[in-house]
Amino acid sequence: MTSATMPVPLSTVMRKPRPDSGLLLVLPLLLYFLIFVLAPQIVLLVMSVRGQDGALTAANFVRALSDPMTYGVLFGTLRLGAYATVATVLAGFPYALTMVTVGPRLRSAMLLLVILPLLVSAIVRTFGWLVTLGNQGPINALLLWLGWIDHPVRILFTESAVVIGLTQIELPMMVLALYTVLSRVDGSLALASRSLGAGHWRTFVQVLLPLSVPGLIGGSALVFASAVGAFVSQTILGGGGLLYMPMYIYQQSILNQDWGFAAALAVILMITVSAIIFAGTALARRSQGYIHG
Amino acid sequence: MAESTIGVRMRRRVDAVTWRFASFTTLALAVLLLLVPTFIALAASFNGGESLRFPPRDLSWRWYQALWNESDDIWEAFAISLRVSLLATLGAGLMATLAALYLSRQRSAWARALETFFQSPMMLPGISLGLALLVWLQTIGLSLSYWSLVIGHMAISTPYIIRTALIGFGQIDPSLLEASRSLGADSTRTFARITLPLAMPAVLAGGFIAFMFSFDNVPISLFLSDARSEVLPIRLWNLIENLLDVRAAAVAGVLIIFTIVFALVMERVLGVSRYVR
Repeated sequence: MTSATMPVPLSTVMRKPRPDSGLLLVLPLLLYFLIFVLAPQIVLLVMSVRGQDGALTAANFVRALSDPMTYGVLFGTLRLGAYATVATVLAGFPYALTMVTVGPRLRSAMLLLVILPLLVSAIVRTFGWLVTLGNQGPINALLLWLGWIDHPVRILFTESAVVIGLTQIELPMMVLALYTVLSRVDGSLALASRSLGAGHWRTFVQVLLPLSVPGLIGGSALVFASAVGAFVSQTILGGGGLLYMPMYIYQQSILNQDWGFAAALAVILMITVSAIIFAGTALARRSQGYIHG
Repeated sequence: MAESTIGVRMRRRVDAVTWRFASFTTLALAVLLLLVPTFIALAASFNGGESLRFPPRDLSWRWYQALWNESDDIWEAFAISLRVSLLATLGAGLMATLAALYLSRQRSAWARALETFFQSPMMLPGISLGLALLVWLQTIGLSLSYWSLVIGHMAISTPYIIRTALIGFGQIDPSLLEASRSLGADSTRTFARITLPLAMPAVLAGGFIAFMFSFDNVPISLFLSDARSEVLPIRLWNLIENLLDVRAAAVAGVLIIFTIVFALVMERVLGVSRYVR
């Protein structure tokens, strides 16, 4: 570019074709993504602000945001994501922590135990929960046998069922995110903390927890996003009585053919989810900075 | 003085005991949680009765027999799923590997932004992705077919392959490439003989993971399939919603076995677990 004004070393001239060939490598995927990922999102956005006649209007958003049902469904969905995120952190942290402390053989076994469920179809696992949590399922059978209950309790088709199912489905993601970060933490730090007199709990809160914040952020964002969008598990385990955002969007689009409204709902969902992930990430980063002083 | 030492010792003891107890309980709970649904689904598929129960009342193969003999609908859906996911993984794999080759050499913010862009389908709700793609295909006048399914599945396959391929290319020792070049190999030859073979396990591991997730995807397929191409997860979903159809348990059983065997073989051959972080 600057060759007209400045003498250019020979090596730069020789290397010149390389960036172009590099760009050629990335071009197919870039084109595909521009055409089939970015363009559709823009069209969705455009459709959400267009009326039946094609004129620019906020009618779809006004309709969605003045309807109490939207808030009910949206908050229910976000709550689901929050519960699943907290539950995966609580169940996943000790698992990831154990993985970094045990020997290599047990560690690879534990890694496999996380990856295998991750690869088993989410629908199959949802189906497993359908059997497990049902009235004739093992949970009810166990509670009856223990004499804690007289009649089978209804777990299936409640929010708890969806949270349990989603926690299991997303747990591997959280464990992998935490394990990646924890395995990079120098093990002697925890040892130093303990030998200086801090107990296990204090070491955990003051040393390990702050150091694993990046993993917590990454894992939580992933778990939250996929729990909120887990269409099939929400529908099967929630049953007909519980409605969540993905199903609501599907109903409004395919079943009601109300495309503009469905697009507005999809935009609202994406904006809230991204905003929450963004805010959570920013907050966690700040608290991490605070901890490290 | 002696008392305070005992006090300290007591506190240490309580600290250690509560810590071990809490870790062990949650760990056991997590292991149980990870195993339960798969195990129960597998066990329920050997149930002889008309309804799903656990423990199964009398063991039988009848649902597997029903699946084998009188389930053309399921096998058809399986064949479509297999073709769609294979083509999507192949297409995404080729493009993502090339892109990762470029991105792994770049340190610029622009390259990192591209990386995030290529990973974005993983963070978007599948339903918005499917809805948007459907609306877009209608806008540009592409009718729904088998190929619209493949196009949609390529988008959700890409993030997994990009990730592992970047790890694979990143792990290659630059001095090997230098050596190849200084020994007279041009860049094409270096790529074919050094770079690609070294990064291949990572790319294939990503392809495997992408295939499994594509094979399991519902939201994209729900919007993009035409009336004739019903994929397996949607067929399975229909079977599950229709609770009397215990063939769902047999399908689940087959998928579980298939996944575990496939994953163990892949782990042995490629070391998939090295690339999932």
